[in-house]
Amino acid sequence: MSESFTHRLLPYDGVEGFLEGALPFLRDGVEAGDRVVAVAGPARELLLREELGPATAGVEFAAADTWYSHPSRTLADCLSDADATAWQGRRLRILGEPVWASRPPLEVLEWQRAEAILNVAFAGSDASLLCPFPSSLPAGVVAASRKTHPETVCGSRSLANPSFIDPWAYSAQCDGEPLPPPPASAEALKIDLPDLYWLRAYVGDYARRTPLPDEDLQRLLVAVTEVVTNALRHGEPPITLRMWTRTSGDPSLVCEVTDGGRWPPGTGYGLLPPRPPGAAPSGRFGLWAVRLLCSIVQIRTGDAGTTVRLHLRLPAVPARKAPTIDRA
Amino acid sequence: MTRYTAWQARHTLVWPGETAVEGVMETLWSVRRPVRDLRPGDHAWLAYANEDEQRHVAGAFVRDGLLAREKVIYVAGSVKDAVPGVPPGTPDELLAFLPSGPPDGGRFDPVATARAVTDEIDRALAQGFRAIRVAAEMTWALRRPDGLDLLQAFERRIEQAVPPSTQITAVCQLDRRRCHRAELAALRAGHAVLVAPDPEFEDAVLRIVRTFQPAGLSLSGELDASRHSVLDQALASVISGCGTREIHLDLAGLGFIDLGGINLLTEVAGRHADPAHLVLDRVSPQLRAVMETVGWNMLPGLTLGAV
Repeated sequence: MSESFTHRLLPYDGVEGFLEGALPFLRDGVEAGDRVVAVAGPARELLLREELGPATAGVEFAAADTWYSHPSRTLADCLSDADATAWQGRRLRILGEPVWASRPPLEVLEWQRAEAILNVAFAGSDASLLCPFPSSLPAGVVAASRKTHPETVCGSRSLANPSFIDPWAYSAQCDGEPLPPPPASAEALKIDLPDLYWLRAYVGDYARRTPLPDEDLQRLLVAVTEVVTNALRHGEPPITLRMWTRTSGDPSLVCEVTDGGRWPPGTGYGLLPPRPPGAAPSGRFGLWAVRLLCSIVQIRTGDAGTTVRLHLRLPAVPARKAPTIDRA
Repeated sequence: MTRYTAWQARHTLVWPGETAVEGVMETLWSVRRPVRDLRPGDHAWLAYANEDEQRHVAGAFVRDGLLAREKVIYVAGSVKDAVPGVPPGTPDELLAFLPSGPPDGGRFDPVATARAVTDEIDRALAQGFRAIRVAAEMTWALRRPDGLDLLQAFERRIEQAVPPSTQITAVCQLDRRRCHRAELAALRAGHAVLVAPDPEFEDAVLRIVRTFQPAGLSLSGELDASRHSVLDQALASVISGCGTREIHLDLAGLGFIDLGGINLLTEVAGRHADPAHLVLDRVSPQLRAVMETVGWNMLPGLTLGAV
């Protein structure tokens, strides 16, 4: 492997600043024969195509909203792209500006965590990632980006980022705040039987009163079964399932499993995909897959026990039409 | 807890619809029964796909009878035919073997064969047997001149003897590979019961049944960690028993499979030096969505088969 993995931050002001950092990155890649991917919205893509000129032919463009669909999915896809490209003897080079503005806070947190964890996931690969961050983003997002990127691009050079912290430490910081308590309306079920058939019946029954689509219900059932199976195997009683729907902010169905045990350190929390695929023990495979199956997974483990909270986004249901009064 | 028990009271477990695995339309008035659920008076039909299925189904019928000290009457073409399922040390008086084929090219004699069977039945009753099993492998008869007509005549005689009885159970077997579709349909119509293999496993939540064409298992109900070991065993026996490298799993009736279960499938597929291939047939859109979310690259050795 001729080059080592790089994950650089490109802070910029305005279009000029963006192009100043992005164009050399892309052009160098095309010249070096790398597989070059630019993840961008439609306007950015147009701009880059114009500025790149003939080099455009060597750049693949991907739409930002589909590329950044789900932190774990995006990470897995990038990793397998890097593997596939390495097989061809080439280097993968990605210019990617995550979608920050439209995301609810919980999702922003997970994307930031993914930015940190990918440093671990890609270690040993020769991929090169450049993440442009406009200075117009909220201060918190900019500050977090300096903790999750080992280097910052400064003109034609790249400098070590003094704020960068260990990815696992960063991930632990993401989970520093205690979870808000479940609402009083949450339904609770104590789990004391190893047979989870009735548990799924219960979850299914609850979920069918929400607009959750069938396929997402199946994903939820698989995720809940996995988390409860883990709690039964490795946790401590009492094991309790709670369910509620979040109507404020991003509407979602929440399913929480608590138990009295504490996870040992270094479990990885399912943040890294099992590699090589299929070879991982089922426990790790399990939690990784649980993350893929849910919109957001929150985990807290400590002396007070363990909580795993699964969120599935609910489709927006058109608000009921107010009755119209015929004034004619 | 109250909602939980309310659910339990409202729903009773119902197995999803039985599937017509034989590729022939099942007649409306026939019922499908595993070997172990056959009862006296049943005149049952088995069109087997291969020796494995014959051993599995007819063999179980013979073995269960002999182990229960019932009389077993086996009809076959010639003395060279083996009776499937005979346990070692079976006393001679329990098993009557009736090789009924006339010399080469001769016509099948339905009257004589049926009389040999009823004579054997009468003898067994006189000896005090309370239950009698008749198993007849009749493919040879069908291949003789006027085979279909003569075999139907034989079947009518068996039909006169078995269903009114409270002591006799009969299974007629045909090798599907050596019969025409129309012949099978005609003969099958004379049987009110279709005999199926005993499930490899069955409880209130999961049922695993062997399939023979294609070789594999059909799963119905739900699979999670409390039943991984039974699936593992069933898969091991299919893989060791049928020699083919491609095992089919019919998942049409499977409402749920957990991640451990999916992982078990990839493990089984990869366990052998010559990796077996697991083909998942008739996977519901919901299960497919789960597997797609996990990612097929995480599931080496598994492929989607028939829809």
